[in-house]
Amino acid sequence: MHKTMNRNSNVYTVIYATVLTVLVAILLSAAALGLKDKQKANTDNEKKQQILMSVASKIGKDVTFNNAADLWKELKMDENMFCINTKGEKVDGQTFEIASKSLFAGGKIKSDATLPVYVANIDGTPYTIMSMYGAGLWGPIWGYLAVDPKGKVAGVSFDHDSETAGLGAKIKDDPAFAAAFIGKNIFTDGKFTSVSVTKQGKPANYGGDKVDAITGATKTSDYVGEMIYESLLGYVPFLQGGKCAEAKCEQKHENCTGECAGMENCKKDSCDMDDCKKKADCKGECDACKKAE
Amino acid sequence: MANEKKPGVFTGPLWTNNPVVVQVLGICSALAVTTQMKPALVMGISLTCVLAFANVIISLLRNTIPNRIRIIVQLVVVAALVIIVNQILKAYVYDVSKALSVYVGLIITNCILMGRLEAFALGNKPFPALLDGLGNGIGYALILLITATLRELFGSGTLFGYDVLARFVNESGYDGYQNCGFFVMPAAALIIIGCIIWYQRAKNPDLQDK
Repeated sequence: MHKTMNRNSNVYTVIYATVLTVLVAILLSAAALGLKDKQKANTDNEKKQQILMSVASKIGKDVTFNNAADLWKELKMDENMFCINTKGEKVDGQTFEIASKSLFAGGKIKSDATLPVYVANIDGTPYTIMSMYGAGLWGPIWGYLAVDPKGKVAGVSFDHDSETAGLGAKIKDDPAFAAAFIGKNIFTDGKFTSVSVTKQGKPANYGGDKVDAITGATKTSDYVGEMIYESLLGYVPFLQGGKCAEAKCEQKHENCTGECAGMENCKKDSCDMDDCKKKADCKGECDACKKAE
Repeated sequence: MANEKKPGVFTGPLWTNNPVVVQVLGICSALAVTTQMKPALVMGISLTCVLAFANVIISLLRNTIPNRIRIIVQLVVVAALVIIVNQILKAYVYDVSKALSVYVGLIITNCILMGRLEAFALGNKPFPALLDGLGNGIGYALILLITATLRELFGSGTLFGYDVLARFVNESGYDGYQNCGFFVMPAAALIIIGCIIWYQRAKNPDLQDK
């Protein structure tokens, strides 16, 4: 029947196109569905690798795709992960399955977000590993940052979707970039100052510590700095045991969910008696302040 | 008869009918992936595999494809092939798939694929089509590797990531080899390929335009 049908007739063309489309659709769906579990096992393993890479310097060896699963078991990571809310309280949740992307809206952590926390106990010290996510230059960037109990960075790992090879991609490919974060403090005098990424010779964006940006990858470096700040901000109440310590304290005292450690340095144009603890902190005319001391 | 034809089908595209310098196909990727040797090699191998398989498949289907939708059918076959291969790699050799994921788009849209499917696979039997695919793929890879060698060596001082000329730079960076930034720019790739064309046509006057 098909041999006698004209190959170039409209009917044949339409039938052919339909059959081809359906066949290819079935083939692709079958491949995707059939391989889904194996692929998930691979992406899960990669996630474990990236989480552990943030503490690789404390583990003492390179974390590769092949040894990530074993190291994960050794460190009993499955038992040492939990979720928190933005107030710093522990909550229920599937820690490992949380997609960091879903925690953000407009570049900032959603106030109702559930954040994943991983704790790696190495040589008696618990390292808190936090998940970061942000927009890079050409696509999403993400990573994990580990701190020791004092807020000193133990290590960091970055990954990206489509940053430029040889430039922005260096956040992942150049070990020297991640290594520069080790030993920096994310808190300065009790305030959260994150670790900024700024040009060589320029100071940090939020006070506190910084690392040098990648030459030729200014934008990606800026985005990394933003990502670290915005992502870690959600963890700060947890790290500070429930205290609200924003570097830029734009909220009034009432809006802080805990003791606001940064209130003393919060500059306001007008001083209310309640907020003005010292005359020196008043920015403008403050009649009420003249009485305070 | 068959033995006279086969060497031509496979060996032709390696030089005298090279897809890049003679047929002028696949120029975009020849600029894009040749800043370093490793991506050039990956791209060359990937394209050869996809081209060989696609050629065979289209050749097998060639008597059934309606004329008016033949380009689309070729595209569908190629895209499906690349996606399925990528899915299999993601499941079984994850690190290779991550390296390749950047190239998936570049392979599907490579003019060499559409060019050879249209010019050869549609009108020839599967085995010659396979040879044609392999020959064109390897010919493409050859040009890519020559270009990448020059660009990586002079542009970054390395080959496959290993310092060759770069090691001559001392700590202050003033003596020894300074990277010639021009080689990292796409224009350099065009000039290198132009020089290859120039050399080839000088050696082989048959190829010169009349």
